[in-house]
Amino acid sequence: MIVPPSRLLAYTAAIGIEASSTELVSRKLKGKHLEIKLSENNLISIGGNGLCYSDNNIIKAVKTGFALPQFLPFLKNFKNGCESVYTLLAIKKIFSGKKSTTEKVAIALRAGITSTATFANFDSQSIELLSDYKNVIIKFIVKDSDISFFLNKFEDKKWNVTSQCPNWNLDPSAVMVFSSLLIAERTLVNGFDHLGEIGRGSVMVSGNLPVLDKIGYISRKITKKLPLFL
Amino acid sequence: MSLKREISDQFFARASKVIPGGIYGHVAPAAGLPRFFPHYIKSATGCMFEDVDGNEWLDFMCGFGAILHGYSHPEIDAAADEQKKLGSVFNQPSPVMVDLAESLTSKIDFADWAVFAKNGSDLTTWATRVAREHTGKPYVVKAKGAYHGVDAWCDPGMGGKIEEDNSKILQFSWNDIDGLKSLIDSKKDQIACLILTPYHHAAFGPSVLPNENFWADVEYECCRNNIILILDDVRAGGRLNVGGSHKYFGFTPDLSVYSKGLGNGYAISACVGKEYLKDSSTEVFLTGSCWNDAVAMAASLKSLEISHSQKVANSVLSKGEYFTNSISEKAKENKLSFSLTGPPSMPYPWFEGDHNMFLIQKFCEIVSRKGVYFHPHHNWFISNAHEREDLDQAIDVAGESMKELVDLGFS
Repeated sequence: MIVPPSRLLAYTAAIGIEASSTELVSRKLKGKHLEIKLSENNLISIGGNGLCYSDNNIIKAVKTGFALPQFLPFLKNFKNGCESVYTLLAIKKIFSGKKSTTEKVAIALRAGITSTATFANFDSQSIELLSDYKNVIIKFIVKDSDISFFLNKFEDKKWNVTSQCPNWNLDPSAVMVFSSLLIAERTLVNGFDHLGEIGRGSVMVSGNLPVLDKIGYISRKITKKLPLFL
Repeated sequence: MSLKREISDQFFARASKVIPGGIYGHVAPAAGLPRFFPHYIKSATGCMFEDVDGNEWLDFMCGFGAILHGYSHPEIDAAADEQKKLGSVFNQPSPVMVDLAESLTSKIDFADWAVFAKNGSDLTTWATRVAREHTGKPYVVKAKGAYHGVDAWCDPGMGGKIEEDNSKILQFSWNDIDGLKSLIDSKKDQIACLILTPYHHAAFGPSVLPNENFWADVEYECCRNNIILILDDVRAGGRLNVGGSHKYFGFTPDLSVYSKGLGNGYAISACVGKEYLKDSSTEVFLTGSCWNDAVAMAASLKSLEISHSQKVANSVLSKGEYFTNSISEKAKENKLSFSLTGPPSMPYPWFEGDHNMFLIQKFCEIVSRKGVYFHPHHNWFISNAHEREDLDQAIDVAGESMKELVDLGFS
């Protein structure tokens, strides 16, 4: 699969939505998995036929929490479109909550890490930055919660995110531990002081720090371009 | 046992408000052991330092190499104090600059001239420009992963870069002479210089010494292709051979840059060169606000004098040999595959198979709880202030910590 550079940001925004829905479903919350598909004419469909956004509007949706979908596909596939909208609204409701709940952080963190994986796979600068790494598992944990994600890459395959260790025979290359739900949520917001939080001990890092450093840089780059409406 | 760190944390909290990241660069907490190393240090003497919480540490980083003779060396500080009475920066250089240039050119065998700045980067970059000026060729060749400073062409960081920064920089793998030859062939008559450290001392990985014929081959290729050979001796200078690290490995560069061991903590760097590059060097503008700082030059002059009179390079090598051999013994006793790579005066710690560095991080964490400062990701430094009892103390701590490591299930 090739993502044209001009569409990468929109694609990343959409992938973030898909990842959010994956987490929503895995936590048995109401909603469905929203598979995304890049279409021609700068359109992206979400959750099958029905819900379809222009590239610009999907970016707007992620940044602000609202954007208008394309009318015609929605009317043509009204039932499926409504189910997808329902899931989006469920995600929005969780994101809009003021408290840092496990659900909110898990969904947002998965979206953030998956967005990073997307840039690692398709952004030329990020690909170059990570070109030396063939087999990597980075484990993200939020202390005192059940949240853990694994950002991984094996040989020539793409970067991927899972909630279970993808290969129990391999130890993680690096581990990042967030000391609380609030700290984990903060990492997804532009202006997060990553050096300061590590210095204070509210984020703990160990293992292969150079790969973690590069992943962190890519993730901050995305957060600047595509701030979540948290 | 956890060391006190309340005051360190208080300073860091204040710093985070007014300094990006609180502390940045290679001393940023994230690059070391953030919750085990202190963030701030109050004072240091010899090979010991005291952090702001009053914890005393037996140090093996020497200000990341800036200290060769020991912290607060009385003779060097006295020389600096003497100059301070006269002043530090004037409209014109102080006579001490001439003394220092004469001292360097008399002590470094190939050096016919010297210039001064403040940091290694200032002069590694300048040296590449001198090479470009002299040869009229654009390309610079370096070893992959080698650190030459913070300028855009060599900075290992990620931010603020554009493609053009590296468009005239070529890289080959250390010790890979065939790779170097192919690179030279691919840019025939377009390479101005080859800049190398005396051995490969990249962070986050074991140090690699040059293969037997590496330097001879490098010299030959440079000579055959009219490529200027620049030695980045910023980190190792004064620690392998008093006359420069090229003497230790038996080759002769055209230009060489020094800094860390030169001023013993007073900010100074120097580039020395062969006569034939003197004219070109005058064409490449070189200056800085405080680069004529006479205090750092006076300190450096004394530091050089001590390096020679006390044969400091030999001394730190021999201390390092005792230290590295003894720690290797401790590792064997604990059945750990641990080695101290690189020259013994600046050993880099490495557990075999520990590519993700969890083991070395845990080891240095345990050691830090006992008041010994071993860095997990950078080569350590032996200063001339490390006495036998200091080394023995650190060796014992290393042994105890290795045992704890094994007891914890690491191996």
